[in-house]
Amino acid sequence: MDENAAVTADGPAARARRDARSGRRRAVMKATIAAAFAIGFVVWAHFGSGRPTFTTDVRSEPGWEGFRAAYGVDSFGIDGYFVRAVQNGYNLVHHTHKYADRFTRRTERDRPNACSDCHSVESLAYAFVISDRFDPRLNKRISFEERVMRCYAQRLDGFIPTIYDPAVRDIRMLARMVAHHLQLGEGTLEASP
Amino acid sequence: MKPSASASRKLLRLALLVGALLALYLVAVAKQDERQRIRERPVTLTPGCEEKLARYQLAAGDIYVSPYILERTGRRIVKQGYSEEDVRAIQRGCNIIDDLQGQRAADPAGERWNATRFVRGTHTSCNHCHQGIGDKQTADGTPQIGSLSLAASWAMADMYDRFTGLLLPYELRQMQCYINSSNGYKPNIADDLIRDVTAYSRFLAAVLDLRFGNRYPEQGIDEIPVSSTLKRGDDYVRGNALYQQRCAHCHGPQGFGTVVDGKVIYPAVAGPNAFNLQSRNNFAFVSTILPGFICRNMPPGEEGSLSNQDCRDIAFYISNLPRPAGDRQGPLMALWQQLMMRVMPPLIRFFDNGDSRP
Amino acid sequence: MITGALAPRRLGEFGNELLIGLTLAIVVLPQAIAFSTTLAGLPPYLGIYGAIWGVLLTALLNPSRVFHGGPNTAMCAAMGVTLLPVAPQFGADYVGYALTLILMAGLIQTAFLLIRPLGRALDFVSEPVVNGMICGIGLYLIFRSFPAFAGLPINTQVEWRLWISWQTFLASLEIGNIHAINIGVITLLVTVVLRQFAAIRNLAILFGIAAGTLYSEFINARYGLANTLVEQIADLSSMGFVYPSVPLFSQEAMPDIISIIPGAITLALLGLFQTVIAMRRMNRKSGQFVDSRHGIFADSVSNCLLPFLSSLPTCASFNRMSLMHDMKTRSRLAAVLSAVILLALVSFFGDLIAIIPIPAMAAIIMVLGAAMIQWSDIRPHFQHRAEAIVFFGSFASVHLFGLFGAVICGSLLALAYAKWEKAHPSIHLEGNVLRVRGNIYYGSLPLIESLYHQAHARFDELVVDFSAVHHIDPEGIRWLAEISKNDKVHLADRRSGHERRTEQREPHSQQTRTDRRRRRDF
Repeated sequence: MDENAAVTADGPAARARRDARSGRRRAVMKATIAAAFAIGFVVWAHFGSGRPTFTTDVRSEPGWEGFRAAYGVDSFGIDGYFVRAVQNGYNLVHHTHKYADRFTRRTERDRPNACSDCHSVESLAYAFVISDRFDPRLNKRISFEERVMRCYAQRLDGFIPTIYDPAVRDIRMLARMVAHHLQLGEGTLEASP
Repeated sequence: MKPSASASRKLLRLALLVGALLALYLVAVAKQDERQRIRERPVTLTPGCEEKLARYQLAAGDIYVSPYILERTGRRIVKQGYSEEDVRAIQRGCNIIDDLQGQRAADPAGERWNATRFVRGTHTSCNHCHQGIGDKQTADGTPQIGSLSLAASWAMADMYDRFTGLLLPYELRQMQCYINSSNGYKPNIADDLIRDVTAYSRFLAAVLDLRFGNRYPEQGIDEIPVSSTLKRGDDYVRGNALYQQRCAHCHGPQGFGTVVDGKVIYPAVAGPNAFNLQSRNNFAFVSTILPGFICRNMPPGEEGSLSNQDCRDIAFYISNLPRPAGDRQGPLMALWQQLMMRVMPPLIRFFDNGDSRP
Repeated sequence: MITGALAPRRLGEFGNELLIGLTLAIVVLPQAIAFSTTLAGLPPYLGIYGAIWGVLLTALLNPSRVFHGGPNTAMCAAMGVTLLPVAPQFGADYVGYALTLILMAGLIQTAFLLIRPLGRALDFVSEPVVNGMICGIGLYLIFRSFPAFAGLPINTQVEWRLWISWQTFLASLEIGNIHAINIGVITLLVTVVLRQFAAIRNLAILFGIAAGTLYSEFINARYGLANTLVEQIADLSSMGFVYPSVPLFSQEAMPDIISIIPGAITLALLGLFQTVIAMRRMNRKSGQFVDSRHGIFADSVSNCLLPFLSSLPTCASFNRMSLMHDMKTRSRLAAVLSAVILLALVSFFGDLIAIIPIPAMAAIIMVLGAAMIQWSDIRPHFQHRAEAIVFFGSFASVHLFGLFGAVICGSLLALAYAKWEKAHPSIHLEGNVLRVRGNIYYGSLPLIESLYHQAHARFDELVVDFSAVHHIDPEGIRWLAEISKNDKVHLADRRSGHERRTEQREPHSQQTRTDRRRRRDF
């Protein structure tokens, strides 16, 4: 290691410096090209691949506007956390195979493929207000959420969602909203007025 | 020599690990059996619950007709009945509200689902805030305005809560009580502790025939904002004077409460057994709730004798007494508050003695 | 790269890379799913896409031969803790916030790339700090996975502190779903026992999951899924090769987005710490030197792009990288192949993956958490007191202050450690010569001064020898200037070791080297 070489000598050191500089430039170039390639792929995935894009917005399904007017959803606000949960609940109940595709193996063509094939929203509300009761058949107290989870597993040939998964929660929100619309009290029976 | 020694050490370690796992598993199985036995065991009610549930005629049956509504309106509303299991859950829930820490129970841990595990202090019970075992009524039987009624709270559950930023389910709302008002830990929402209280609250909602999503005046607190006073400012010194005059003989001059024979007679409003800094009772956090509670509920027997301004002054004073730090304030704040709670009161007692003005 | 690998003489090499890729794909698959479902509270597809696109992007951007990105335990745990209070887990909003969190972390990492001193600061994160944090996180992971292990819902408020997890643990024994506990215990036992055999150590987790899944299928067939209520990975059939996504960014989400900024900083730092340390370790092991800036570059660009591909954030994975090293990978092809094979696995065995029970995933997290506490990594720290203190401080801070606090604490500890070392120069008095070695700066000056004043009082003539000092800060210079005015005091000739050794041959005046300190006139 000749310390003075770097300062005094001209040939090899300068060449080494040049090499280092061009090597650095090459590395930066390579990195830039790689990054551009990665960005290009992401742009293509979004605009060129034709794949569906994830969104947090609740989509408005046909029938929602009618439901909204008929059941007075607007009494909870035009928009809001609760209203969105209710709307998502509405979508879940009517298009379960689409909105809870993680928890059901049912597809577009199968029947039943949605909660609404067996339950009306009113019956969900009535089930909600008498939930948390002992079920002698199952020998334990069952909550509304657990009933929904059982439905996913059995009727919809699917899987058990976590209790606070919106796939369960928003159905409860919908049932609560309908229970309010029908002015149900705790324990109200469907048959009795 | 060496490999075999290391192999045997490895084997020993493995055996220990597997043994520990199996031991834990057996503990889990035993504990689950014990829980099941407790679920099936008849419930010994506290005197308050005995009276309340008898009045509401809680019994197993196919239908339930609320005697409360029948008596007050003459209407006979038929509701879904309760099975034996449901009745026991409701009874246990009532017990938990009335006596959270099992101070009046023969077997506190078993009868209250180990509730003390989730509470740091020794004073807290739900009944301290949710008075009348979650169903406070005036002399003529009307639910009292702003009495934190559990039934009305159930009817209005699942709404957006700005403190947590969530659509707050009833179970999570209970957890908040454990964390802040009881300065404790949160039970899992699948815990019987939470489910039984929900069962009891739902029973109360059935008794009072509350409708889902409706606003009832007994829900929450009848809050007292500054605009309902003369806006002369909330005065700490005035609060101190009022506290010593009206509150101190029950809650103690420094707010540490009254305990006789290990049973809490009047709960602490300051110190290690009180609600913490992040509780909504804390005036500095939410300034309208504690005054509202004081005006409607305090002092017992003389409710309504304090003016709005008095309540705000007292709440301001109380909230500034030393109390535990909140769940999310971190260990440094917790340490600091512990220091304040342990060191300041004796010092104040020593120096402030006899100096209190009339 | 691929055409080169396909040349006949390279075929054997390609076979080896293929084998490594397959092993990595099998190792990363359960990890990706477990991290996203049990730790981050996200649907499993994010973990899988993270293990595909995270690995591919880092392989593209990072020139290191031995590098494997993809989802990481600590980062996923940080995401779960950060996002729990913001929205209900597994929901669309939660996913949106998670993507925003990843993007913010990526942008913060980009700042570390662009602002050189910040990136350089990462080099000050010493081994004991990182090891302490990793051990702390490992212990936390074990406690954290108990609710999922027992089939219980995860509570919706942050539970970081160990003593709160302890309450969860006690309760989960009592109220847990016994079917879930059975599945978890079987998975745990099989994995732990099989890990003892070196030959199948890497596949032990796979066997454990297989055992847990078989048992879960058995009880589901016997009692019905609706009665066992065992959560599973659930349907993946709608997964394609890519799922474009846009992070949640709107006015109404702003309060929550602002509230997760500390979480984003934590996430960014946790990722960079691990990448930098892993690359440092690999440089020592493999002999190929790759500047850690390449790692920061790859991570920051990837984490800025991954939220647009529905992926979890990426950082270096210690265990997968040491696996790659042990299997003697020679190019980045192995990482690329692992991603491709993983995609194929998910497309062909989606129905099988769907029935893996969540409690088995929780058991895997426990095993990985325990594996993060490596006695062989920790033991060296106990031989040096300062290192041991830093290690324990870092370990404890994870549990006392949470992850964000731990990251801050870790950085401060690392700096404090370095400063503390520098603040203790070796000073001793030999006759009337005061010898100083180390640094003269504001932190060490009080120590030096105290001995100087003692000596000054004792001797008529004092020599201050600071020839072995390697750094003097401005305050030190001012002090030296001050004492040099004192007639009693002589400053010893300041020479380097080289100068001292060559003293006779090299006269002082002929020095040509330009020493910054030498030019200063005292």
